[in-house]
Amino acid sequence: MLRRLYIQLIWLHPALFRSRFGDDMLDDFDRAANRAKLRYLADAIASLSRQWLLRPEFRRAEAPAATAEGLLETVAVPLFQTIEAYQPRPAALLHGGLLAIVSILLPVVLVSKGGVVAMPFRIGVHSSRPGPFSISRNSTAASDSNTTVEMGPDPYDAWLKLAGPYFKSMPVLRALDTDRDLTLSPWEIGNAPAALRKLDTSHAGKLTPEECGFGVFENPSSAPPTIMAQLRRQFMSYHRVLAALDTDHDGEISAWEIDHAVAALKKLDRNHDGYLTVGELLPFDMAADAALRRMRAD
Amino acid sequence: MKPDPDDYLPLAPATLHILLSLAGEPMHGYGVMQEVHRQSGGRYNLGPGTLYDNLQRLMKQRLVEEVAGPREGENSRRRYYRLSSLGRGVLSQEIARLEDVVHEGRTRLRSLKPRRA
Repeated sequence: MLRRLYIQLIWLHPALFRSRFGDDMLDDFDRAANRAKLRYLADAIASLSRQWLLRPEFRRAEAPAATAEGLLETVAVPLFQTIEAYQPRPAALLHGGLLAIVSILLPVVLVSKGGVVAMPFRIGVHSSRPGPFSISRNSTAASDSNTTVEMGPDPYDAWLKLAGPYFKSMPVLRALDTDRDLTLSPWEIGNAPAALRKLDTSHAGKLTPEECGFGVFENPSSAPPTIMAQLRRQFMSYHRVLAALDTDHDGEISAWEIDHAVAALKKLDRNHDGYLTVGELLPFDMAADAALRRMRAD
Repeated sequence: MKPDPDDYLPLAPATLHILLSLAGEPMHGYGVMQEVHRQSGGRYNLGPGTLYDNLQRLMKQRLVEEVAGPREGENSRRRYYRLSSLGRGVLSQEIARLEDVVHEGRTRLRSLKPRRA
């Protein structure tokens, strides 16, 4: 047991000392009387301290490539040895080690404490602790990152407020807009002739203004015929969809005009997207009114 | 330039005992320890660590040199050491210095003795 300990102590000596005197030290230990071995152990510890603290000049000889001769001798082998002969003082090594420990521990401690020093430079934090600097307004001040975005009234609502009642009051549009979305889709436009024929309640093969929604008087026969004829034409020309369908502007939608309703309706598609929206179907003054409402909303 | 023996004085007790032990014939480390023990009457015991630490330093100072030991026998693989000429000069100077110290000490002590009335 003591011998193993003594071997360990010898092994801890500088390599040069160990290689030169290690065997003799162990031989002396083996020869010594048992009562002297503890004293030899203490002596080895003292020697160990002396060698590392007081004998740096002997350790320098350990570097084999420290001299030019050494370099020349090792030309044939890879030069993995240290070329620099200088070795720092033990005190310099100690100071360097302490500095390295402090350099590692300082960021670790700062991070573990929440990074107080770096907090004033953090941007976009939801909430933070107060920083060490007296900054009245900075990115770390308690802030609420929730942003309320207030949306204005949808401009399309202005059209819809007018288009809803308008579509209901117009039998032609009610018949064409089968899905009640206030828009005539390409399919609904293509189905227009069939939808219009359903409005022909008199089975005359054509649509009169009354069948298209004209109804100014409860008893039309009481009105002068000339005025009635004028009102009926104005009715048919006032509404865009009826004016488009009544291509000959005779105040009625004839059978031929019903058959060619698809082409007539497509002429209303100003933006050529295939759909007829409320902006393309409402009468001009109603469209102007909706545009004014939209401008006020903006 | 030849080193001056006076530059190495005074010697530490361990160094003095080691140089004294090697003043005779070449000796290995264990022999030096035994010789020191004998010289001091058992009052001074060198450990191997202290011995070889001093031997390393003395060889660096060229006061001690390593010599070939016996080719056969129990101690054939051990290293042997002896005083160099410089070490012998240093030891002589140290002994002379100690003689002066002893002489001075005796003179002082003699002068301190109370005289008979």
